[in-house]
Amino acid sequence: MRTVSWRSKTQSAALWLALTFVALGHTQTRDVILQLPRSEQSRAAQYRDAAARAVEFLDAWLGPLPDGAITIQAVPWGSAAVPTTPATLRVPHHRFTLAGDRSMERFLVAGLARRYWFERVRFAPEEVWLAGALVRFTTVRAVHELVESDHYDSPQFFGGALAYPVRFAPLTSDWWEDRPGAATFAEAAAVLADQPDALTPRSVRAERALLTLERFVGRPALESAIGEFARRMAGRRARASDLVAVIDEVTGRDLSWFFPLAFDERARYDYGVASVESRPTDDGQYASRVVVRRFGDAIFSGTSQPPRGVFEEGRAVELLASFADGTALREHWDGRAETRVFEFVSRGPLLSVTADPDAVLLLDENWANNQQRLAPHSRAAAVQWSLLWMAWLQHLMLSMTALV
Amino acid sequence: VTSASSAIAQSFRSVAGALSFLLRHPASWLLAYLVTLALALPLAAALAQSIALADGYPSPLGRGAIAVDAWMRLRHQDGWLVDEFLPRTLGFAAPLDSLSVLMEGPSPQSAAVILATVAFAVVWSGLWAVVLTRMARRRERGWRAAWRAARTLGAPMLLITAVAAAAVLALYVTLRPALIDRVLPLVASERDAGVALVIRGAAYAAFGSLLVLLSVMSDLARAHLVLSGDRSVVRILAMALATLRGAFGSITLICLLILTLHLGWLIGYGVAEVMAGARLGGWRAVAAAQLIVIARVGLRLLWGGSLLALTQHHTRAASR
Repeated sequence: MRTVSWRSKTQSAALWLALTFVALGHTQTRDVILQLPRSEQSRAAQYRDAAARAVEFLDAWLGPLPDGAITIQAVPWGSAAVPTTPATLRVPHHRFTLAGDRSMERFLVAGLARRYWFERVRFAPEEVWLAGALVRFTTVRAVHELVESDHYDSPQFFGGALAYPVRFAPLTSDWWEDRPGAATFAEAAAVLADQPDALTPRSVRAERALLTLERFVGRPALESAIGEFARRMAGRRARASDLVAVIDEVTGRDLSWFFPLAFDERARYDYGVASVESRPTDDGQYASRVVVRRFGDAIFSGTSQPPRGVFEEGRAVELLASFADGTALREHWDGRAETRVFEFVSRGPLLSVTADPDAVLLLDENWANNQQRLAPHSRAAAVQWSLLWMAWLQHLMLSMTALV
Repeated sequence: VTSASSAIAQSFRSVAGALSFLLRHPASWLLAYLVTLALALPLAAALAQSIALADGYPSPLGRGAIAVDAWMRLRHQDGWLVDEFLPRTLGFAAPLDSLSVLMEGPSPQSAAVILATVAFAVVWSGLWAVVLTRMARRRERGWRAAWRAARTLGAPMLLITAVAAAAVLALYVTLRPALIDRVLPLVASERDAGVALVIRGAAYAAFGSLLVLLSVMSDLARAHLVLSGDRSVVRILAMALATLRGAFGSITLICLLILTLHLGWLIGYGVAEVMAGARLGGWRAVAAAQLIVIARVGLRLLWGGSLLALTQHHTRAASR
């Protein structure tokens, strides 16, 4: 059982707060210093609550941070004057915002995630990209856990002076999954803007690799592995090979088919549907032929076992075929050959074919070729979406012509 | 004092007259709205077709690689598909975005969107000819009168639009980078929030005032074109400048009145949105989005109509 209590006092423009953690019989006290401008002091409780929840979540997952004060400094959005120091988390704030804006929480989590990785683990200079990837992964997961169902897209206006949380655009996960969505990734990328090592192409690639693996082996397994890695490497020098070894051990799988290729930016993953045919047969049924293609050079097989003769080993690439009679078939492929042909006989014609329908392979570079449809969807959603886009276009036209 | 009170009274009369015209003759308002609809609808139809096939981002949007979640939403054709992608379409964020676009400049758009916007400006030139003529000469009614107005005044209206567009473009290319791109980054590093706010507000106000001035000039030029029938754009612009000088106080007050109306409507809408806390979706969202567009079209016509009424009064007073 973990509890958090606070003591705080106000002096001048800063608030000194202390976190007391009572965990497993020992008490850890941590000072959290909030340096807030006058305009942000009314939100002190929100800062305090966000810091407490983030520290509690990250402690539980990755192990406790070394002792020492955490200074959280609120700076104006876009500010370049205040230098970042390892001990100070810079949290940009907008001049004007509303209660639903969770930008502060997202920035706070990103800054804390950085401290957990960079202060607890020593990364070789040539492997800082791995630290960046872990910061990204941790940030996305922590944001998802801490503000899920209570954060919205907050577009910025007037050069970031104003953020307006759009309540009909929540950044929640989609109904078909319990994992962070792309909007959360995008937000995380935005809040990592002052952490260049988390934004390198190699870090982004490695984060995608971890997210792909999370979808392949399951979320609890990979989260446990990341937590175990953080604990084992505390105070030690860590390399990518250490991470892979821990993941292998915790998940109980041989992932040599996936690593280190997944971390290599030059390896290009791209599976898609090359062609689809469906035609009626003489006996009143339909014969369909689907060609799935590996467009990239990297292979996502799901196993290190080689094929046995004509028999495939591995079933990582999934194919979903949907038919007009309501049937939906899922087939698998080891993804090794350049193409694979699937043939179906069905009572109704083939409607659509989708490669990787659950979006497991987040390293896939081109989603547009993952599906081919022989018949369009129901029109209602498409029409509604288009009509809303049309309203945006009308606004743009009115704005652009308002002055002339 | 008499002159000032007369100017104030004239401003109120001009706005009230234009508002009264729009409310008593909603056909003009409807026509203007239908024009915006007609120009945007073909692109929306193309978009609906592309979305229904869901292979990637629809071509009218001109996006690059599709994000995985957008792809998933397209696949599922989810009811909340509308949330994902353009949250600035609807609600209080829409007018905020419009104002921000005016200050910050538009982000790069696809060729289809740029073409639609240019077509919109061209068609509105003809529309101004019809609506302002109807406002100025209220006895001239019907489609024939409208066609005659569009035919005779459409070309000079278009020329006025082109001149104004060139001037606006020049402002965006020269003054905006100097004023906003250079000054505002300095503001960001200013620790005193109050000072930063004042500097930022002053930069936006300076740039915005010039944009409004250009808009006023083009609307006054249109008003003179309709009232005088003189098709020389140079002479019309000279007349507009004279009116601007002679009735600067009234024009400023008209601007403030319409700005107040606009802000009042925006704030009322924003408060309702925040207080209601409801997620608009589906067809209700579509209807709400179009109601906002209708209101914006009305405000634009009110702006042009008020300046026409003021110009009419000013011209009459000068000829006496």
